[in-house]
Amino acid sequence: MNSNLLILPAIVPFVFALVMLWLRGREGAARYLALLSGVIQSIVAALLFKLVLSEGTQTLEIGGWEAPFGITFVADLLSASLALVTSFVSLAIALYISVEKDEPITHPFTLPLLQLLLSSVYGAFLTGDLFNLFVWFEVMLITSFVLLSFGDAKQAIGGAIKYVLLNLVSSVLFLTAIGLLYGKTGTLNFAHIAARVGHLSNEPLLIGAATLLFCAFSIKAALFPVHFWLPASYHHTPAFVSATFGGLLTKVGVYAMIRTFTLVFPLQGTWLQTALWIISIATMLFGVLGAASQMNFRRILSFHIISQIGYMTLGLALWSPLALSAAVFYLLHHIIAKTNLFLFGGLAARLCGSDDLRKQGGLYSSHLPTAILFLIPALSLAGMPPLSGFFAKLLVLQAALEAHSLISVICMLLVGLATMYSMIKIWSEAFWKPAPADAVRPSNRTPSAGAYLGVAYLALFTVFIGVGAGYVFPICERIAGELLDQGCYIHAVLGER
Amino acid sequence: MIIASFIGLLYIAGFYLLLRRSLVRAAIGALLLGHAANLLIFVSGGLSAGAPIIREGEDSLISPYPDPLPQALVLTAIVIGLGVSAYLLALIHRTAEIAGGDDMDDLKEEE
Amino acid sequence: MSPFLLRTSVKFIAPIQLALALYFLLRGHNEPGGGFIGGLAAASAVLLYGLSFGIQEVESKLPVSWFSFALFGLSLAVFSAFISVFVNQPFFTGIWGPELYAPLVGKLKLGTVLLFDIGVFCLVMGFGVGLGFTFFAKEAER
Repeated sequence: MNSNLLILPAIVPFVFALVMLWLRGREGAARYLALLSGVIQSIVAALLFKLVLSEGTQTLEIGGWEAPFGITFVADLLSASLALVTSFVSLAIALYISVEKDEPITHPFTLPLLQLLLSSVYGAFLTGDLFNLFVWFEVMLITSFVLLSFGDAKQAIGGAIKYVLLNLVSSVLFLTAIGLLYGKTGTLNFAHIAARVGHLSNEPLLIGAATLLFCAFSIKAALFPVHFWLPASYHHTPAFVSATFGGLLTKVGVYAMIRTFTLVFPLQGTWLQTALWIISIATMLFGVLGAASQMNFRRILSFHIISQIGYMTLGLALWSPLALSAAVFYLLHHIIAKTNLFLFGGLAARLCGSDDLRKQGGLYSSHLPTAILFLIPALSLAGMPPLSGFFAKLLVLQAALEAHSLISVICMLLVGLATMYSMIKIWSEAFWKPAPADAVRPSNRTPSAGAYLGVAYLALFTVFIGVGAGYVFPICERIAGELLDQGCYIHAVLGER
Repeated sequence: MIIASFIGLLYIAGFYLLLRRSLVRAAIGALLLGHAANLLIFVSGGLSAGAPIIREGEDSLISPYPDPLPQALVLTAIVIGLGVSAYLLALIHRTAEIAGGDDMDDLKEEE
Repeated sequence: MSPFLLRTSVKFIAPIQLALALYFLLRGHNEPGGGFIGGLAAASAVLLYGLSFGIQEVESKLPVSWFSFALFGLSLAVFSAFISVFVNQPFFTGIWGPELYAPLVGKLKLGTVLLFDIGVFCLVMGFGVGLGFTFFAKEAER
C-alpha cells in the first residue's frame, strides 16, 4: 500500500536543486546534474507508471499518518502518466541546455529553480490533498516568479508584475475555497471531500467553494477572460525556461480542474458545465485570434497555448467517457509538443539572432535538419495526421459530434485552420523565406548535439503518441473510466471505511 | 458575526486596492486578501477557548477545544504568504528602479 | 532614539532572545513552540543586533553567509525526512530515539522530528536575517 515511489518524482529534483545550490556558481556541474536529474526522474516516473498500470491506484500516507488525517499522495493512472510526461520534458530540457556554449545562463540560480519548479509540478500531479495541492501550486508560482524576473528589460518586469498579481489573486481564491470547504466538510483530502460532498451537493457554501475553485484554476490554466498574463510574460525568459513554463505550468491548472471537477464536484448537470463550455470556446477562439496578429515566434506560441487549453477544457465540459479521454490525450500530447515548439523558438532565435519573425529567415537552406525536426511538433499542433495532434483533435471533435454540439464542432474546425495558418506563418517566415539582407547574424551558427538531442527526443514522443495512438488511447480511456468512477479513487485512498 | 463582517471588509479593501494603478497599493491589497483568506480558514476550525493540546496526565482533549488542523493550515499559508510578500516587495522595488515609478502605466509594453 | 541606549540594551536583549529561541526550538514537539517560531525569534535577535551595530559588524563575525545557513537548514530538514525511507517506512515518518532530560527544557525526545525542527530553525533564521539585511542594505545605499 505505502510505496515511497510516489514521493520520489517530487523529491528527486528537489534534492538536485539543493545540491546545485550548494555548488552555486559552478554552472558546468549544474548542467550535468540537471541531466542526471532528468534521467533519474524518467526512471522513477516510468517505474511508477508501470506499477500503477499493472496494479491500479497507489497511495502513500506521508509520515505514516492515515488518510484522511495526514497528507496522502495518490497516483492514479492520470497522475502517473502526467508525471511520466513531465519527466520526458525534464530530460529534454536538460539535454537542450547540456552544452555550455550555446545557451548562456543568465543567473546562477536558474537551474536550481528550474529543478524546484519540476519538483512542484510532480508534487501537484501526485498529491491527494487539496491543501497540499495549494502548497505545491505556491512553490510552483514562487519559483516561476523568480525565474520570470531574472530578465532585466522593462517589458519583462511588466509581464512579471501582471503574472504575479493575477496569480496571487488566484491563490487567494483557492485559499478561500479551501476555508469554505473545510468549514463545511471538515476535511481536505480529495477522496474524503468527495465522499462527504456526495450527500450535500446543493449546499450554497459548497457551490460557492466550487465556483471559487473554478475561478482560481481558470486563472492558473489561462482560460479566456483571465488569460492575458500568459502572453505578456512567457517570452521574456530564456527559451528553455519558457519551454518549461509553456509545457507544464498551465497544464497543472488544467489537471487541477480535471481532478476537482470529476472527483470532488462532478461537473455534470451543474451551471459550471455550461460556463466551462462557453469559456472553452471563447478561449480557443481568442487564443488563436491573438496569435494571428503576432510576429514574435514565442509570442505566437504563447497564444496557441491558450487556444489549446480551450480544447482540453472543452473535453472536460462535454463530459462523456470519450470526451474525457480526449481531454487527457490532448493534455499528454500538448505538454510534449508545446515544450518542443518553445525549444525550437529558442533555437531559431539563437540561429538568427532575433526572436522576431520578420528578422528571421533562411533556416531551411542553412539548417535543413532543424527545419525538418521543427515540422514534427508544428504539424502535430496544427493537427496533421499521423502525428499526435491529429488524434487529439479528432477525439475532441468526435466527442463534440457525439454530444450534438454543433457550435463546438464549427469552432474547433475554425481554430484548427487558424492554428495551421500560424504554423505555416512561422514556417514560411523563419525557415522558408530567404534571410533578410540586413540581418545581423551571430557568428556561431551550428546548434550543438545536445540541443538536437533535446528536440529530437521530444519529437520522437510526438511521433510515438501519433503512430502509437492505438496504444496510448486505451490508456486514456482507462483514465477516463477511473475519473468517472469516483468510488474507485475513494476506495483506493480511504479503504473500506 | 463581527469576525465574518471583518473578513468581508478585508476582502473588499483588498480587491479595491488591487484594482488601483499604483503598484504599492496593489501589493498592500494582495497582502490584505491573504490575511482575509487566512482568517477565513482559521474561523472554519471553530472559535472556542482553550488549546487543542492533550495535557500531561490526560489521555484526551479537554473540551471545548478548537479544531487544530486549520491552525496548522493557516500557519503554512502564512509562511507562504511571507515568502510571496517578500518577493512582491522586492519586485516592486526593482520595478521602481527600472521604470522610475510605481504606476502600472509606466510598464506599458512598447511594441 | 539615541544609538547608545539602543546598543546597550540590545547587548542584553539579543542573547536572551537567542536563548529563548533555543528554548522554543527544543520544547517544540509537544508544547507550543518549534523550529519555525524559534527561527523567527532568533532571526529577530540577529536583526536587532545588526540594526544597532551595523550589518558589517554582524556579517564579519560569521564564517558562513546567511544563504548557506538557510540552505544547510533546508538540506537537514529534507535529510531528516529521508531517514524513514532508509528503514522502509513512509516518507517523513518520525523515527524516535532515546528520551533525555535536558536542563531547563525538561523532557527532550531525540528523533528525526527534532532534526527536522532544527533544520527548519536554521532555514527560517537564515531566511529571515538574510531578507532583513538585504532590505537594510538597500535602504543604507540611498
